[in-house]
Amino acid sequence: MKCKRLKTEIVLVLLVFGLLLIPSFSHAVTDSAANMVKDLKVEDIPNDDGSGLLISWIPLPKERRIIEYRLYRGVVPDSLFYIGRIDVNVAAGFSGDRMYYYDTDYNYFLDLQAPGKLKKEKKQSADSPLYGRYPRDIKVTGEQLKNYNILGVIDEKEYFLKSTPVNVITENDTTTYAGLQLKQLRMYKKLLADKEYYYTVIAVSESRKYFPNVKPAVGIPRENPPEKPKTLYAVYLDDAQRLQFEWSLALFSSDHKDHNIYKIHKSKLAQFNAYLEEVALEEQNELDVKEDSTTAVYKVKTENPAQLIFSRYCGYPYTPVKTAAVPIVNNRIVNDEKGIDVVVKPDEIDDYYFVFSFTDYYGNETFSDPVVVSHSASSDLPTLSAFTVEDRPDDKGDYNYLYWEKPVVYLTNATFLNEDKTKLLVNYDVNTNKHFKVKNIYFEVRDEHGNVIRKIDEYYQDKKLNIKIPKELDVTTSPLFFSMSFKCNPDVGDDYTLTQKLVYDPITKSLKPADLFMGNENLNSTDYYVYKRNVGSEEWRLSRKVSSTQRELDDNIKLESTVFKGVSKYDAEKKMFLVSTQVALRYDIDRKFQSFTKLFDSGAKDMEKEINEQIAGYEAKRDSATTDEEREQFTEAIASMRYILDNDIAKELSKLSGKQRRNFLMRVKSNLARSFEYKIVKSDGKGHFTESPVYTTDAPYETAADVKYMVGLEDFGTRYFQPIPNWFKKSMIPALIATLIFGMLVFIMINQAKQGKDLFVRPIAGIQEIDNAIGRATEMGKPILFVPGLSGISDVATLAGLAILGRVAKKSAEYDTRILVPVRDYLVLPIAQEIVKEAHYEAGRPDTYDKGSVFFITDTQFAFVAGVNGVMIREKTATNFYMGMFWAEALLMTETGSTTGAIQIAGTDAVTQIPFFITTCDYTLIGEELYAASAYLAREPLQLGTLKATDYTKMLILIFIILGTLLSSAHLTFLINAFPEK
Amino acid sequence: MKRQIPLIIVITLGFMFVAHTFIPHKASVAFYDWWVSWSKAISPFAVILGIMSLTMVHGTKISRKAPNWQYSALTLFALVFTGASGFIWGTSEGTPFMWLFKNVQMPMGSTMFSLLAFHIASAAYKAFRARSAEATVLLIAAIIVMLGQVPLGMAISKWIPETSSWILNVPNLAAKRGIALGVGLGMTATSLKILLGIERTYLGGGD
Repeated sequence: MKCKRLKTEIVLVLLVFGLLLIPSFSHAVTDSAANMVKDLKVEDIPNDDGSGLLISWIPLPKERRIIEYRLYRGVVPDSLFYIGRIDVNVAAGFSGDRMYYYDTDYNYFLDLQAPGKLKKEKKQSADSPLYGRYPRDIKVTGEQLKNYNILGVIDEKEYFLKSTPVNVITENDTTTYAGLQLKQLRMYKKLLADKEYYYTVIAVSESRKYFPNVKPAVGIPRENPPEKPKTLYAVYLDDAQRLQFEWSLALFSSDHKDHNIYKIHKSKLAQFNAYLEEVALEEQNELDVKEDSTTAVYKVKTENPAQLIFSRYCGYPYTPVKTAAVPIVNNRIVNDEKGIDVVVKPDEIDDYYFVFSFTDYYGNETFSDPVVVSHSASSDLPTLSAFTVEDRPDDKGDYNYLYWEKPVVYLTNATFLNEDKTKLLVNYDVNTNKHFKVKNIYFEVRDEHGNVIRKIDEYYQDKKLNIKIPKELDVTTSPLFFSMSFKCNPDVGDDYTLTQKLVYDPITKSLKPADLFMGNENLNSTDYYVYKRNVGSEEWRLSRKVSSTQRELDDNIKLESTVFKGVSKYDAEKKMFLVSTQVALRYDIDRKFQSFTKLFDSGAKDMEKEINEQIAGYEAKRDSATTDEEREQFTEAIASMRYILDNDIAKELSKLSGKQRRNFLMRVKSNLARSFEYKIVKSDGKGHFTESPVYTTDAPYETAADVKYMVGLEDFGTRYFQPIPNWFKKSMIPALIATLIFGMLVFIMINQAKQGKDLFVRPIAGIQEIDNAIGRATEMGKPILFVPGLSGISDVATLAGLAILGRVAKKSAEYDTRILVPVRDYLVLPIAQEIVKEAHYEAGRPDTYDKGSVFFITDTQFAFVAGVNGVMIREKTATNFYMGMFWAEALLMTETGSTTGAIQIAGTDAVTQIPFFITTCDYTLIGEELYAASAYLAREPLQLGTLKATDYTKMLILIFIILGTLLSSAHLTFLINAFPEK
Repeated sequence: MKRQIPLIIVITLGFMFVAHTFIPHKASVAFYDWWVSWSKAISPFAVILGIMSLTMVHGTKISRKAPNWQYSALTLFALVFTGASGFIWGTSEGTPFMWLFKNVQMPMGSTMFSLLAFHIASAAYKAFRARSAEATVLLIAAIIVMLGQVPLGMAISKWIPETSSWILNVPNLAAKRGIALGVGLGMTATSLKILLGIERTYLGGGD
């Protein structure tokens, strides 16, 4: 009868499941056209480098319950490959009119995770043009390389040490490439300018139905002039006769070449505007000619009246310097390198406009609006003290540490503690650096009449100040004035004071901190821009912009180096993608020349031969040159060619061959890339800035870099800095000492216990009752339930729980009582099984061990609870143990156990669950008692010794807590400061 | 040997990982990361153990026609069906696997979780019965803390939220830190016992 009822229940359950699943598999018959996205458009992205297209479409209505839109791209309309998707919230739908997808810049093209073979897109008809992603099949994907600009990202070891030389023979010559398998690189693509690309979009419904694709739309990315510079600030320092400029950077800068500044005489502004209009017409005409080659070509006729006074490489791909100081010497601005020699009379400076421009590699130039200078004096510029660069201690060698100036304290917030507004809690923060150890901070609070309200000596900086405000002082109308000074080691000087006001804000009805002042300098109005440059670079790059209240910076320098190479060829036979073997070496600042070499020996020899031939050719031309200018040009060219062969690195490389040479080359490159020089610019963002000199030191720090790889770099350690990997974390010394003391105590106590000394351990009721609880189950003839927590084997609480399981299982085996151990973690399962099995063997009852008594239920939290509760109710367990880590499920289990009448003993270190266990269980092991239980039960000298050592260590900690409290109450903070905060 | 080899592995690697805590060098970090990646690789194999255990326990019940064996059959059916639906149709949004997760597993989990509210009420009743001086203190503290968390507490008296926050921040926090201190030392002691080979129950057996 019971069996029949169960069968009916199962049938009903299956029926309900089946009915619920129907919507998942069924697809309503839908009209194809109605399920296509509408108005698919592909448009060129303005102001970019000719690699961007914007794809947009009108999405399907919310009622279609679309879960994602999938995009496909190809160079012909009948083969379109999956490139990405836009997920949609089914319930909310898409709120806008059109959806947009930006196919711009370098993005994913191919890596090892791509599908092995080319596959048609799912659920498409046989004639569908849609395919999945580009596959790993080199015969398919290799053919696509010519349709894109492909960038290979290669780990340096793969490129330098594991690539294979592959010769590509053409009609004219033979070129050696570095061959790499797909597992050795990742590839990213950019669209090619002026090439047609086809796109289509399909919608996918909630039930994974792929709707039909819309007719592909075509788009051509066009190279555009740079975007218009948004801001330019021009400042003239009358006393220093120096122009200072600051500008905003562009959003798209991948094809930018230079940042330029021009001057225009005010009388020629109209001519300049006419020139700009003609430039705009010419740019539009260039696009029109590309669209229709029969269009007449338009050229700018008006001469640009602007005169170049400054030009600098834009620094792509890094964030470059956005300030420039241009000195006027003898009424001229001169820069030989850039060919600038312009007359600028200081007394006529107001007669000029200044404009800033971005130029790109295609010859386009875009100008900012003209601005006039604002006059200032050197004394108005922000003050900037010297800074220091050091290796950051206690790291793996990936940070340089920069610090500067004296510590800063500033108010961050203020809260009234009562309605009368007479009690105020003020929060503050302190920024210091390695050089200054802050001991005391002295706060003096005054009203607007200068009357002192409160003086506070913060000997322990808890970042809080409690201030009593006199009843007669109305802080809603008169601000509070804070002056803050320090006692530091080393001394910062008595005159070093910071000031800040707390002003009432009627909107939030609270006191708000105003700007922080150091003397007359407003620290909230300026920022520090920390720039760095490595040996192989031409331009400075921004490391970080930090507030001028900061006093230090950790500059991250990655340990791993990556090589970036264009990929345009492949070898289908060898299944390799081919990249250039040319390796850039050091940039020579004096020559403005980048030397290079070839990766493989044969390539290097060929290069040497070619260069020698070129030198001979130049020498012949120089000898036959008719003018001095020509002779000078050839002489320079010969010197540059010789530098490629004669530079220090090339000389060292010529002594090596094969893998040794490539290894040397890799290490030289890596060391150059990780060694930086630094400078700081402090600026208000509007042209008032001060630039520090490049940091150098006479006392170089010891270097981790192998000096033999820093060829010819005499400034290493004094100007160029590379972080050092440390072998010991000094901040962990207190932890190490504590561990050693604890370890020592363990050994002493174990020895004492072994010698027979009776070690007293305080009784714990929960542990003492374990035996009784097992006995109760035996008497009742019912099983014991043991839950070893819900966390994994890496949790120490689980290990402690398993240790107790061993003792309990042995006892239950001795009493021949069944023990049930439900497990949530896969890794805990075999360990628990082994423990219970071994316990039965030790008890001399291997026959009573049932492998099925230790079983896995599920790793889902509440499903596990349901399983455990089911076991309790069905098996009517007499004793329940919960030993280990528990979360919200704890109460669900113990309450069920409580209702079945089982005696329950729990033990956990989860502070939030302890109250629930105490309430619902008969005995609870609180926190550390869980870890002590195993030792209590074993009663072995080794275990008891450890337990006793733990107690003594606790006593030591208590002594330190009490001492620290007493000493710091007496303004002696050396003890608490001796310990790390975390 | 069956015990000694695992013990040697545990002790050697244990001390190496302790050393890693004090050594920030890139070689130490690389070594640690390498081992962690291995431990991740072990987990998928452990899943097989879990599935085997589940199949064995419920398979035995079915074969022996143990009481309520039909539930075991249903469990195994659900295991196979859910796994198969994931393998056949994938696990992305909109697949039967995801449908089962959202419409079966999640509501059931939520149902179990919601039972917690009733159990908390029941446990609170047991705890707050003022049968002793300690229980009375607990009851009073609980009432103040609960009232302090809701606007009603402020309406009754401005001291209730302040007292509530004092109870939470002073005696409660002190007790929590005391427990945390003990737990920290207990964990260190247990780890040390494992490292020194004093605690070997995790290898199976008591010694």
